[in-house]
Amino acid sequence: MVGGYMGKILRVNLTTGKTSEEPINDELARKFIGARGYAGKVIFDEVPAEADPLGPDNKLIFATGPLTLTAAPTGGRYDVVTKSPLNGVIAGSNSGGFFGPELKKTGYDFLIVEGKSNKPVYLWVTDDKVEIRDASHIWGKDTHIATDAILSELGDKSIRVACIGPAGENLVKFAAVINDKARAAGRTGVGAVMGSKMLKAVAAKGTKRAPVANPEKFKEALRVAMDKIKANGVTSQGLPTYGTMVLNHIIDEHGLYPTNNFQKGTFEHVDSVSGEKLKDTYLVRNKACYACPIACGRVSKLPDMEEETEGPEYETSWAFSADCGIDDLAAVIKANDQCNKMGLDTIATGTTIACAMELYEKGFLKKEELGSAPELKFGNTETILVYPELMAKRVGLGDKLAEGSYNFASMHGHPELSMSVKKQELPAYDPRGAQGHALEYATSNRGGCHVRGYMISPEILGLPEKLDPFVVEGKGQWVRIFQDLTAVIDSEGLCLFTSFALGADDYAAMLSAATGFDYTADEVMKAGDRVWNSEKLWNLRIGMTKKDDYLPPRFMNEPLPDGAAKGQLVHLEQLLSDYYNVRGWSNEGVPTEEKLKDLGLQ
Amino acid sequence: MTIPDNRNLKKVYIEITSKCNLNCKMCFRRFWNDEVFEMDFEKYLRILDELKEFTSLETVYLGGIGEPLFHSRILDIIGKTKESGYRVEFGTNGTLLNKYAEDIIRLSVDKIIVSIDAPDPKVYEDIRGTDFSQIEDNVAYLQETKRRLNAHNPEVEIEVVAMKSNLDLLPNILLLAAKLEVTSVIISNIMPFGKELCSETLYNEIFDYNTFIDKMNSQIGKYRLKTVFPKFELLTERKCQFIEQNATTIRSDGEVAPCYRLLHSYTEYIFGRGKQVNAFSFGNVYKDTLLSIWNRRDYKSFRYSVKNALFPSCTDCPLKDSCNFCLTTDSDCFGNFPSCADCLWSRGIVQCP
Ligand code: SF4
Ligand code: SF4
Ligand code: SF4
Ligand code: SF4
Repeated sequence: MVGGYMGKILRVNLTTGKTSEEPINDELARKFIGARGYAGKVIFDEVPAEADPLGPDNKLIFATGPLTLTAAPTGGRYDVVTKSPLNGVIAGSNSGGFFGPELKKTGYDFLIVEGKSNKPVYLWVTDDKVEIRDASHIWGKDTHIATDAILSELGDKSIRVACIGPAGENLVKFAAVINDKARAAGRTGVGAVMGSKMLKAVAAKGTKRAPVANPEKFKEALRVAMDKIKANGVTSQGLPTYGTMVLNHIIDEHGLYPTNNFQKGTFEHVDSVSGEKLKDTYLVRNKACYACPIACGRVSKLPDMEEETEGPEYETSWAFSADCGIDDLAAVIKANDQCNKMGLDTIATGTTIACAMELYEKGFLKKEELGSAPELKFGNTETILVYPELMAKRVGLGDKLAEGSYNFASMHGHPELSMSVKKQELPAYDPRGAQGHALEYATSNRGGCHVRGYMISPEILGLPEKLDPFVVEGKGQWVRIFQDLTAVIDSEGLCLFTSFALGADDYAAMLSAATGFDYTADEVMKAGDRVWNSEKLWNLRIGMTKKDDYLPPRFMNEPLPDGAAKGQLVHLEQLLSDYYNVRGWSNEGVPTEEKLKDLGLQ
Repeated sequence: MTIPDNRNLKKVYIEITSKCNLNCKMCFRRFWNDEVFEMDFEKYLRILDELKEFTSLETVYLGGIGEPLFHSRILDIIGKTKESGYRVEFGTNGTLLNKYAEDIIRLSVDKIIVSIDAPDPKVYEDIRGTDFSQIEDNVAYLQETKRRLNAHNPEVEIEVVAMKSNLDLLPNILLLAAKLEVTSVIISNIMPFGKELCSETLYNEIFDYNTFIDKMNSQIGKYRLKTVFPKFELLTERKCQFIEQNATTIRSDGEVAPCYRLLHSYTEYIFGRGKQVNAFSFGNVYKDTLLSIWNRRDYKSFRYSVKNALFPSCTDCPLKDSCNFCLTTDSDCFGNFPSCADCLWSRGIVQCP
């Protein structure tokens, strides 16, 4: 018996209003697992390469994995998969909370949204049913107001909602989809695709349970996995106690804590914006996503806030503090809350402000352009409180900033000052401080990103073993393994944070028992390889080449000026040729015939 | 692994009504969100008929939440059940015993358990909102009637809940029990169903229970009583009385739960930590036969898991305060549905008759 999957895909065409169902394809399920992998393949097969990401030909998939909704640790994830409006790649944006499992409870593994509505709508999905409802009254509203309005309109507080805020509606290139008010499918601009379809929200409430093919084996696999999670210091202590903000100090100490738009590798005020500081001040408690024993989520509250808010995460806290030279934790919390309400990716929002600050300080962005908005100087706290909303609503300079730092810096003649790869902003680790992580940035299929092969884990945290971050040799193979394993975790519907404690054999054991497909650790890694190569083929199809596997020139030319990684540069050419080689790709980064044949991808 | 079907149900708890004539302070009827039902007599007879399938069934325990003597056809229910050859036991708040004493004896009910919460009139009245001496009189009347009619049954037991506010008075229960000629006293710890009751628990702080137990035991000889103590701290052993006894519970609306804890939905506070308990049903006797429900794959494997303690232990897990599984009884990190991983009944801290 095939378990894990509910077995059905729901399609909704917003142009025609027609809805339909189709079965999950067992062969694709086996080869691409689910969520990011399987849904990415659907985009690959069904969306033309030249399709306008914000036009009716693009499709938007809310995809769960075979372990979503099961009792597998962190089995509460889903992916939003579509062609990205930011850079054209297959956007797979992963989120936790409770929406994903709730969607699956209705009996559907995926919801595929096609076409484009001519008025604002939202979808109401219940057991084996979907309804397209008017959303005119919540169009323009922030994600909290919209979510509450839907809950009260449908009369059930336990409904789960994923929605966009003004940013998605206004097609901001880095708009997020926000579920459960505070969890974000944050990156690659998936919220703008939702906005282009005039789809304000998806509300879900189901009653089904995930079928498991072999319950006894599954329980056994869970016991093994849980023993490891409980025994691992990061998953049983670090993350529950400090959340992801356990990292601010660690990364700063290693000298790769990007400061002032990556001009430096340490931040003198890191103490005031650390996880330890948050715990001593505004933290109310930690909070877990569905089926998660780790509970890295933060619930915090400022004295002058009416309601509790969730977050901030490490990346967010960094983007609004060190990267902008700001040392005010309360302001960071407000900016984060604002981004959740506006439906913005916090990393892109903060780093785009930081990029604008460098442009401004160097004289490439003129004061007149700012209008009455705060001065874009590093350290000016006001900026992070004001610009997010201007971006989301495309007001004044916010309209240009809403195009993302790459486009914004290009408009001002200096694309090299955008700290991005494939137009997507880099997160909170200076690549000069960790060569493997640099390689992961350069080659990540969706552009600048840390969650597609988190090399910080071996290079800085020493998990599963400690690698020298400055060494180039051997990093290609490590990056490849991490990228493939992450593709597996995302596609299964689990949280990446389990990987601090678990390995390929655990993911294979849980997946095999749940689905009834027999995967060995090697086979599951091969499925990850397949997902990765399929995403790569798409990138080639939309015209990307080796020159898109780049890093901003700063990282190859300007040695880090301070901290533990002082003097370091990224050795990109060397890293890339090693990587292409272990991937079985040509020197130009193109998968060989042989490789594709082996993966069954021709 | 396939667990073979079986018919080894030994005891069935049937909640013939969830109505009650009292409204006690600690009762979870105050905190739950379920509807109150009285089971139809006809439906009860159908269940009784189905029980024939279970050749090793010995005892029918009438009760769940609610007062069985408050059921409009209670005497018919007892009569028919005895006719079918089962032991009949029930738990009662004792307020209606005077009214039914003769009938209970005539129908030869085997055992009744009178729960009196606290052996002190003031505390008792505060909790139950009814007159303590009335209960005392009622039990005495029942015993007297037994003597008068020269009957041995029903055997009478007393159940009390140990908590901070009645701890000092608990030893008095023995005197009372002896006076009322009951055979045993069952002491349970309190399971708080509201936050305000958390401060009443004896097991979440250092409490010198050995001295307490000694003090009680030293008098037992004098009164010739059996006293059943709960555990007062978290011990490694986990044993579920419901599963060990091969028991099942049927709710007044026909839903079949594995035990009292999962019969209704409410919030419990485990060492002060709130947990949503969600009623869990393996089927409804009005729709399926009890035999088919008893042998459902998930019910069988649930019993197997509980018997072999294949549950994680949330109660002493370092992740319990934030783990998402731990917020409800729905499931746990070993993949059990529902989860017993946090159950104070299985730890012997809370006890049922
Ligand atoms: S580890 Fe954190 S992000 Fe991952 S599922 Fe748990 S609470 Fe959510
Ligand atoms: S007598 Fe029992 S069922 Fe009735 S209110 Fe009191 S505790 Fe609840
Ligand atoms: S379910 Fe959560 S609290 Fe309970 S044992 Fe497992 S990890 Fe610990
Ligand atoms: S262990 Fe507790 S929850 Fe589980 S069946 Fe027994 S009494 Fe019920």
